[in-house]
Amino acid sequence: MVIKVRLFATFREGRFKKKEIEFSEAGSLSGLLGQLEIPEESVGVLLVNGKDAGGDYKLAANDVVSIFPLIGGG
Amino acid sequence: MAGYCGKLLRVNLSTGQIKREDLDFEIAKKFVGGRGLGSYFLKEEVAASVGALEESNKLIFAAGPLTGTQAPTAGRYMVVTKSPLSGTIASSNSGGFWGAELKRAGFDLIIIEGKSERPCYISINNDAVEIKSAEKYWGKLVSETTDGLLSEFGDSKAKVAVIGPAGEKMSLLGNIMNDKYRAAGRSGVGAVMGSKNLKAIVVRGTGKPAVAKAEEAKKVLKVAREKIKNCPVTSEGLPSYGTAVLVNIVNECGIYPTNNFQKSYFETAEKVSGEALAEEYLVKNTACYGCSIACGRRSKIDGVEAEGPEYETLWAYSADCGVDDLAAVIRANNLCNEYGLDTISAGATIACAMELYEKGLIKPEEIDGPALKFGSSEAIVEWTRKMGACEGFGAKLARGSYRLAEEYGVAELSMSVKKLEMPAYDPRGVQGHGLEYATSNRGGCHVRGYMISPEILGLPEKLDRFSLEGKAVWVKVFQDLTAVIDSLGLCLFTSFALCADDYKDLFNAIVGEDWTTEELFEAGERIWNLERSFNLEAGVKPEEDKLPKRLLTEPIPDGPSKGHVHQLGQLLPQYYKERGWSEKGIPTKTKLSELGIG
Repeated sequence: MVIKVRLFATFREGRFKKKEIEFSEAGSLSGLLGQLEIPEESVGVLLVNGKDAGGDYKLAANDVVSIFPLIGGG
Repeated sequence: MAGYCGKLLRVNLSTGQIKREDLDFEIAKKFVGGRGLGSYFLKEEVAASVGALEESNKLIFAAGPLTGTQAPTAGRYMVVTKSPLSGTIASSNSGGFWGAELKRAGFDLIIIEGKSERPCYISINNDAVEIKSAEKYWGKLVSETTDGLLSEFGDSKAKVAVIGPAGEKMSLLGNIMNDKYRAAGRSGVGAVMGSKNLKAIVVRGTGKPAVAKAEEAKKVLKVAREKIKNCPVTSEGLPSYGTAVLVNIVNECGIYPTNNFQKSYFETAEKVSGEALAEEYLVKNTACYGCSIACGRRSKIDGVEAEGPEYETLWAYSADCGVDDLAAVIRANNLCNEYGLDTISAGATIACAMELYEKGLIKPEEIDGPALKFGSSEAIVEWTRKMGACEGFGAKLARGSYRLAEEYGVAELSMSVKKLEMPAYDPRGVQGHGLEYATSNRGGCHVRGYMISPEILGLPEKLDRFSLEGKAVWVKVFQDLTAVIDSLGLCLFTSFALCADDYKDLFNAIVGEDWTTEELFEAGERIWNLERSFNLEAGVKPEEDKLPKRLLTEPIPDGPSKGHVHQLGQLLPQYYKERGWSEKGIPTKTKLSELGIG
C-alpha cells in the first residue's frame, strides 16, 4: 500500500520534504520510522491525518503521516 | 543585596525631577522583580481607573533579579503600565540587551511619571541621568532614531529603547523597540510612552549585579546551561529555524487560524514556513544577552538586512490575511519594526479589516489604499505602512481590530480577548490554550501560560488537545510559573529545557535565598492575583473572560480539527475553583490574604 509521508524541520536534512512510500500491509508507525532511520526518541510529534498517533498505530492505505522532531517556539 | 541592584530610578517628565530610591528588599523578593515588581508599583501608585493615555498613568521599565547576571538568557525586562488598548494591566516583555544594560547601570526599575511638554529622551550613563531634547528625532523611524541617539551619546556600547511614529501618534498598537529589532510588543505600551512625549531611553552601564553564593551559582549555572545545550528544542529546532519552526506543526494539527479565524488550515503554509524562511532569506541567526539558543532571524530582502519575522508575525501576516508570499510578510514585518507596531495586533487587525471588506461592511470608496482582500500582498504591506504613519484609513486600523469591528457594528468579528488580538493558535482545537486566552490578565495572549507546549508539542508531557480533563489545573500551573520566569528576567524559551526547580536554584544561588519550589509557585500566584485585582479595579469584569463568539459557536469547517468548538463554558468554572476564586471569578479575601496582598 502507499502512504504519504511528510517530514519537517531537521528531519528533512538528508531525507526529503514529502514522499509517497510503498509500505507493507499492517505495518506500524514504528516500522516506518525504522525504514526512514529516524530514532523514535528524537520524534516530538507524530501525526496521522492531522491526529496524534503512537508508534504502534497500524497504517492504512493513503494515510498522511507527518513527522516532527522535538520543537518549540511561540 | 545580590541579583538586584537595590535602586529604582524615578523620572518625572512634568517637573523634570530625577530621583534615585532604595528598593525595599522584602517587597522586591515578594514580587520577585520584572513583571511582578513592576505590577506591584503600578498598583500601589496608579489608580486603576486612570485613562491610560493621561498624564497620571505611569510607565515602568522593570528588570528582574537575574537580568544582567550570568544566568542563561538573562536579558529580559518588562514594560508595565495600564494598557490603552485593553484597559487591563499591560506587561510587555522584551529581550535583546537593553534590560541587562539597565542593571549594569545600577538600576532594577525606572518609573516614568508625568508628561514632557516637548519631545524628550532619557539618557542614563551609569549614575548620570539626564532628560534631553528629542525634537530632532520626533517623527523618525526606529533604526534612524537608534543610530542618531547612539552617535549623540558617543558610546556605541549604549543600548537604546525607542518608540516609532506609531507610538508618537498614540496608535493603540504602538510598541517599544530596543536594540532596533526586539520589541516590548503588545498592549500598546508604545502609545503610553508617546503620550508622555518620551521618544527613547538610552542606557549605558559598566557595573554588574552581585552574586550571593558564588560556588553554588557556578554549579547551578552549569546545570542550567547543560540542560539548554542538551535539549533538542533549544539546541537544534530554535537555532535552526527560529520560532517559525512552528508554522508547519500548528498548521498540520489544523489549528492555524486562516482568513481571520474563518478556517484553521492554510493550504500553502509551507511557502511561508520556518523552513522556507531558512532556505530563502536567512542570513544568520542572532542571540539576545547571555543566550546560547539564538532563535533570532537575521533576514535580507530588497538589499536590507533586518530581523525576523517571528512565528506569530508570520502567521498574522500570512495565514490570517490569506497571504502566502513570504517576501511580502518580511516587508510588513520590517515596516512594523521601523514604525513601532505590534506585529501580531497589526496583522490581525488587517485580517479583520479584510473580512469586513469582503462582507461589504467596509466600502471600497471609504479606503485610500489597496483593496482589503484576503491574499493580497500589496494590502498587507501598504496598510502596515499607513497604520504605522496613522495616515488616512490606516489611522482607523491603528486603533486595533476591536474598535474597528465595533464601529461597523460587528465587534464579534474582532478576534480578540479584552480587545487584544489573539495570536496564532485556534482555541477550538486546543482547549487548554483557549482557556489561557480567555483568562490571561492582558487579554488574548499566548505567553502567559503556553499550553501549546503540552497540548501540541508534548512538553513536558503530551495532553489530549481536545480533552477538558485537568486543563484548568495545567493552565493555572503554567500561568503561575510563567509569572515567575517573566519576573526573574529570563526568557520563556528556557522552560523547554528547565523545570521549576532549576529556576528556584538559580534564584537562590544568585539572590542568596533559600526558597522552596512551593514558595516559587506561590510568588507566581501572588503576581497573578495582583494583576487580576488591578484589572477588577480598572473595571475589567470577569464577564470579559471570554472568547469571540465564532470560536464558541462555529465549528472549525475543515482540516484536522474539523468540527470542534471551544468549550469555555465548562472550563471556566473549573478554573475559577482551581484559583480559589469565587464562582464569579473574583479573588476571595481569604486567597488574597493567604498570598499577602489582601
